[in-house]
Amino acid sequence: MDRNSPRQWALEHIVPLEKEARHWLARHADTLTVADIEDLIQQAYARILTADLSAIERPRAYFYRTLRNLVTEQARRAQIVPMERLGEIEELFIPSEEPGPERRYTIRQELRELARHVQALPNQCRRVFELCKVLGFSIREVADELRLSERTVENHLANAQRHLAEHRVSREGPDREDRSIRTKRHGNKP
Amino acid sequence: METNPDTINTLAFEWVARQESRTLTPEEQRELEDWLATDERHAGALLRAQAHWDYTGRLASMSGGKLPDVSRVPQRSRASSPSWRTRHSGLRRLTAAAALILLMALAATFYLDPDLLTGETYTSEIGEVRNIELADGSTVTLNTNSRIAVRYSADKRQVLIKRGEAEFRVARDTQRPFSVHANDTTVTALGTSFTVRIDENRTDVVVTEGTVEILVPKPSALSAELPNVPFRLGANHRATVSGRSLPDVETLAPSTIERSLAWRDGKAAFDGEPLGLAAAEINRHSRVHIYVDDPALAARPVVGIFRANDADAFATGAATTFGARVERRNGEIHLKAANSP
Repeated sequence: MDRNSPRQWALEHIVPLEKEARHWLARHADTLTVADIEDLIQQAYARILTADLSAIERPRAYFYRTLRNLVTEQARRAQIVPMERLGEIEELFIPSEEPGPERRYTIRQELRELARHVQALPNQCRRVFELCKVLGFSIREVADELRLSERTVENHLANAQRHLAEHRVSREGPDREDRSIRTKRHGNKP
Repeated sequence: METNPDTINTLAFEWVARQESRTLTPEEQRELEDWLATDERHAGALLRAQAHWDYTGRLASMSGGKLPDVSRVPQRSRASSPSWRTRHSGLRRLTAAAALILLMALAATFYLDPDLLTGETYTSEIGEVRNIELADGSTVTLNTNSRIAVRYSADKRQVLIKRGEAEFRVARDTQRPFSVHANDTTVTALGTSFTVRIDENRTDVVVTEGTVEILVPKPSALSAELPNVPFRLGANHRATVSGRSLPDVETLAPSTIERSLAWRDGKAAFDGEPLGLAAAEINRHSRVHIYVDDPALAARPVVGIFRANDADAFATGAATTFGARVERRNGEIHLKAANSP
């Protein structure tokens, strides 16, 4: 995987600002529901797959611009747009400056956050995560030791990772004063 | 078709878990492709899940085997689960061993034996690939134009990379950690296979088997905040340490690893690297250097396997493929655009 693979690029540039971007959407577009925002985020990630990443100089501005375009496209498609939404689109101006270093989480803070959320995971899920990701054991080894099928270990790991990603983008952090976006989805398997 | 974005996220993370733990079966592969083709959001959710997966994994691996203690937060205690103790005592021992290994590695890596600078030295010439068997049964393969110093003592095995690149297949010995010092970075293993390459300010570590622990110099900007503990790098991963910034960690496909190790057979394999970069790689192996004089030509992607130490054949091949001209003068090979003077 080279540096400009979408996965590597999203990891470096988008994951760290996803939370901030969600708050920005919620703050400036009142009529968007939590599901709308999730939808927009998924679509914005999808656009990364087809973008010429090497040409993007300011990833943050790019991601915000994509989100704004998606909101506009959605409104255009919907034909009937709530009146307020029209005003909101105007308001979705893109914050110009990059966040200063003080807004970035330090590694130590990030690790503490991670530890806190790992502890909140269901027991088995937490064990699997710690063994696989913190201590570096393979799925096979963990499955053997916990006497679970590899498939079950995979599912625990998938659950753990999904919860941790949700916490990352919804946790109370520097944006505390913002309307908090509740994302409650525990165990709603299809 | 799922329209609930949460359901899409759940499925996306399940797919990543499968992709990351093993090779998908052909049926699963087809199922995944169908799913991705159904809705743009599915592909977006998959990319998002992959990126978050890597982010969390990278963070967790930087914890040095132990997440920070946040036990003042009320929690379901691990100790209160008796089944953990009785049923999984094997794994507990394993975990304890891992922690012990970590401590030993820490103790070993903080201290670079000055004698190492004068330890037994092995060198490979330009264009040479050299296999060395060490006293404990570990083997080292030196890539072109490389030099290492080796020193074994009762409690540690230490190697210093002075130049170039080397692959290590480490014989297991839990009493004596095997440490490779490269630039300011230390890579420690007990029994595993990995490659370390140094360029001027850059150290690349690729793990092909097992797990190693890497201790990097603290980035100056974060020095007060970063715990200076090694992080673990598992098989099929590459860590790149350059200057004083945090290491980049990438997952490598088996085919990429295979290619990056082609030098062991005296070959260089490229899969779309720009000609300029590929020529630089060939130059490492050759006293006669190739210069790509035209920027547009230097950007053309190279695909193929070449004899690493045959710059002439590489240049001729590239010229044929890209319709370029080869000029040989003063022991240099110049690749030029066909229509240039």
